[in-house]
Amino acid sequence: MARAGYMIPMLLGKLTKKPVTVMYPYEKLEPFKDIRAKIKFDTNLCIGCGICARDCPSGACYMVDIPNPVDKKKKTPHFDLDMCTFCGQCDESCPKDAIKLTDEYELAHFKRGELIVK
Amino acid sequence: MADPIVDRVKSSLGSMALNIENPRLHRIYATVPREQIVAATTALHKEFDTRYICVIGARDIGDNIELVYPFALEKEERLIVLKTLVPKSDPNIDTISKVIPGAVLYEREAFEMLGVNFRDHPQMEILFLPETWGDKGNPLRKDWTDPRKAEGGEQ
Amino acid sequence: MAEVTIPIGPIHPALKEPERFMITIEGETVVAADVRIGHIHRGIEKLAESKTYIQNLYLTERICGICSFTHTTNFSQATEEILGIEVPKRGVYLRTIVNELERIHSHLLWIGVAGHEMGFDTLFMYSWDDREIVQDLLEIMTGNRVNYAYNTIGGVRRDMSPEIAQKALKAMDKLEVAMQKYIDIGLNEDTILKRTQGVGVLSPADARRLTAVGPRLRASGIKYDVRKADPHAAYDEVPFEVITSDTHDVHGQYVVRALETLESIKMVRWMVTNLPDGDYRVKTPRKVPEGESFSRTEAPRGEDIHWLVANGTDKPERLKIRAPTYANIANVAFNLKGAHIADVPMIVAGIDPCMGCMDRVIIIDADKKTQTVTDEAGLWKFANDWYANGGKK
Repeated sequence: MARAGYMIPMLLGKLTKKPVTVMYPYEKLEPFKDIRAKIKFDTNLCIGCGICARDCPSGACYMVDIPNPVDKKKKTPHFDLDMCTFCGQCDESCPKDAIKLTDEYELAHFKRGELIVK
Repeated sequence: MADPIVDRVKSSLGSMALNIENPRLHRIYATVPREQIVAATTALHKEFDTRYICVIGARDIGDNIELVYPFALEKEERLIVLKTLVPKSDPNIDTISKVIPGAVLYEREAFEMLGVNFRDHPQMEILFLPETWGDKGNPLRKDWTDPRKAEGGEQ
Repeated sequence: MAEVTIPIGPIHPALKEPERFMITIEGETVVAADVRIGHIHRGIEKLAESKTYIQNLYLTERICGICSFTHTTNFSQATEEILGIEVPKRGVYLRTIVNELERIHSHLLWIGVAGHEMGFDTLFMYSWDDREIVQDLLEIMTGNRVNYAYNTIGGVRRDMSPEIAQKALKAMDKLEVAMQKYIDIGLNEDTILKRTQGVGVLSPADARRLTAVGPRLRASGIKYDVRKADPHAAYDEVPFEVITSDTHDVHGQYVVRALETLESIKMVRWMVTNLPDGDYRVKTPRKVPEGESFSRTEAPRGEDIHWLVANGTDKPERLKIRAPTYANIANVAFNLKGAHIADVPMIVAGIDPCMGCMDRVIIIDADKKTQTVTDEAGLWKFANDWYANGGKK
């Protein structure tokens, strides 16, 4: 019993539905709980073990020659969010919970290097 | 638990199989000499109607290249893997695409990536690599180096 | 009538991903089709050899944007098999739930793409709207919409709280109502029937010969599903039916996918209600002992295979990936021959091609003299002649 216009009732039903999209900069969607977004790094907890840099799949996390506040002989990690894929592996690998993921997802910026979390 | 399918594989391969392993349910590994790969495939095809080849995998193990031919059995619900070694000094093997037509593409992939030559293959040509690849080597061999590195170009 | 060869692609408005079709037409009928696909080969297999297992989890996730989870499941399963680790029941169930949610979103996406290809954009808009339900659920569960980063070696990375379980059950109820509508539309709406019935007919014998996988194979009437044939994750405990169709055409694929989605909704509901208690992951060592394993999963598009060889270090020795589109592209080239030119997008879209998975493939599967099915020897001869003449006929 094929007939054209089988979708008309569904079409009419959708008329009363409010739009799925929102006018973004003026109206914002609430980020979900436990969303993976900008990294927050606490230097005072870091022991400079370098596991985060070893596990990072995209090379966004790397160790730099800045003495670690906790252990002066060790290095400190930097997180270049331009390269980050927000998988959260560093958060999971960190033995001291120095790395946290926040829900700050608006990361557009004007200059390169502005998004390096130190 | 003895798997009756393993016995059937054993009896159909006969003396061709150098070694049969059954590490877990659904997996049967059999090693055959490279001269008998077509005979072994034909024997399995007759016994189980192995119409479906999953992939032909190849890897570089020192002086040899290991080829694996996993066949998925539709009714028996097993994966039979035929393994064979091809020496790098003489990387030739017969094609199985006469028995299993679906193997054509996978053999070409093994050809370009590891330099295994399949004799009597209908179309032994580069598949994934760009047409301008030329003789830059077989990228999945362990001793392969990026030619762009030697030229000092950008990687 | 004169023959004309038309190139479609690599970049073409009708194609979603880079691929190239050289289609020779005589009048309105395609007489030869040369498919050249995968201008996006990324050398993932080589790259995987230089990364650790943890990094490879995220690398395999990026093989495909739609069926990313099936690749990580495969990779984790292969690694766990070599390590000899038993994943806790809860972890296995959560993994299976996300796998099925991925199937739902992928099939809804396909219904949208198919609607778009047949010029039925209303269906495209509505099915993608309903897809948001499952996308939101995936985001709540895993933390991201597409590359979920949910799997890890030894389980999954997040637990499912009771609130999320409630949300999942509610979302499944909503989706079931929506899916019933799409099944209804697919079976009755004239636009769909006229564009899909009798298009891209692949007989069971041809499907076997050309190693079709997934919904394409089941639409050809062959009851084969890796979830049943090689039960991985929790599929040996979850009740479900394997859907097949006996029409062998693109409409059969629509029906198979739509009913499969309904089946997946039931599976998710069953798993969420029967979710076992306990741990959801175990700690695993970074170094993997020597060994090898074949892991197979049923991706939304068909069977996906990873062959992993470990050498005792923290990096794999070899990782071979066979994505479903690679196996399915042979039957597309076969089906294009003899088709009406307007049906070409429909046939290509029929297998739900995922070029990112497949890399680069060239197939010559054409015989210009006749439109009937030729035997393999004939095809070989044709291909040999074609190349001997430098690509001319």
